[in-house]
Amino acid sequence: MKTISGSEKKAFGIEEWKLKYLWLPVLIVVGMFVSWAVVVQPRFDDISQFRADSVKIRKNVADLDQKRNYLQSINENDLVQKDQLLSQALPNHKDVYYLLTVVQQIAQNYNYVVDSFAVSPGVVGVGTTKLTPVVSGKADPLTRIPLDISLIGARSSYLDLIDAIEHALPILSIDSFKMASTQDTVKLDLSVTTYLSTTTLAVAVENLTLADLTLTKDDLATLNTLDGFHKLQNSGIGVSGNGQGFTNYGRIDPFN
Amino acid sequence: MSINLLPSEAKFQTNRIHFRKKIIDVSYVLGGLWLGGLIIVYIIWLVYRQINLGDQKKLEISTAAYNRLSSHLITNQELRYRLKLVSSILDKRFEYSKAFRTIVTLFPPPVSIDNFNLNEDGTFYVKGSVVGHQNMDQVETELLSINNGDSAQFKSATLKQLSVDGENWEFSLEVVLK
Repeated sequence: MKTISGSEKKAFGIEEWKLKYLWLPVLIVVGMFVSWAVVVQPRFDDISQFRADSVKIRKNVADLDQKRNYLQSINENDLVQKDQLLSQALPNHKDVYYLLTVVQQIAQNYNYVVDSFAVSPGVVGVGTTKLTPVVSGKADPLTRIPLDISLIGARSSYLDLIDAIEHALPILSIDSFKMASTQDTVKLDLSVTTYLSTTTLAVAVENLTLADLTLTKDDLATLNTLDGFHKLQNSGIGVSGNGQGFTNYGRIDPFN
Repeated sequence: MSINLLPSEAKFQTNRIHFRKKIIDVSYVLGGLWLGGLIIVYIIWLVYRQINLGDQKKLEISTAAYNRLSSHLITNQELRYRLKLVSSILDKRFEYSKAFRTIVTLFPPPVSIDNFNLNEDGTFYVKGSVVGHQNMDQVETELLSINNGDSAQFKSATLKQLSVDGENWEFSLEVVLK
């Protein structure tokens, strides 16, 4: 009869005494799994995140540096000049007399006299314009000031007068035009409009791209066009930015 | 009957000691490798973290430098915004002076443009005169050329009225600009 000693007893095909020594490697393997889940995997996730963040941050830094270099490359005087030119083109406050003054000054330059005029101060006010908004879906950022005016002068120079009105700052549009002429003189009935930009732009500095900062060809062409417009003497009314600012003296406006 | 188990027990003990040693060795190696791996992973994590912190610092410096130019930036943006407004006005407005100057160039001398009016539909009513029927032929040739689409400035021109007094021809046209 054969007796089986304690050393020959088996479980799962392995002698039982051997199983007693396997606790250490089993513990190590369990420790490996636990540390993988608790330590290694989160660290790998962190490393992936750090790498992705670094790529994103470096791109942001490069973008910021590009934008900063562009802004630093802008000549401050040039920027102020452009700002002043645009402030002349689009004044930023309402003055119903201003348009009359401007048209009168142009007319005087061509020896025309003002026969009569009518302003419509009731139209003046934010949101009263009928122009198509520049930014679709948003409130119209332009306010219009219309003026009906009759001018009398030499027939030979009425084309130059019209041309001067259309190429003067602030920007003037002729909305209607009627002409009655005799041999040498002409009477022009004009409906002229000037524009005000009274809205303040909210700039989300952090969302701007380099393309948003850079002046496009169209922008430069517009600036070039404006530069060719006549700038009237003492037309500092409405100049903003670093130019002479508008002073409100608090006088009562008889039209409002 | 007695059986001497000593050699077998000794062999078993030897096996057990060897096995135990082997298991411990394997465990140490495995544990050591794993620990080494953990340390390497941790070092890599520290390196990336440090790089990330450095990049964040650079971003803060760049952002601060960029924000210092915010006055430039706002002026620049307002400039672009107002340029768009100006551009929209200039694009939409009808330039009477340009249209009038174009009408004046409708016929070369000796054809004379005496008067013109702009109708509400954007067409021009032009009155003109010439001396001699040869010059009137020139007017008609010019009209034909415009209506054939040969003119860069005029879309169409229609003769509305024609009268003659001796050698003096007077005509009225309806002219549409391109």
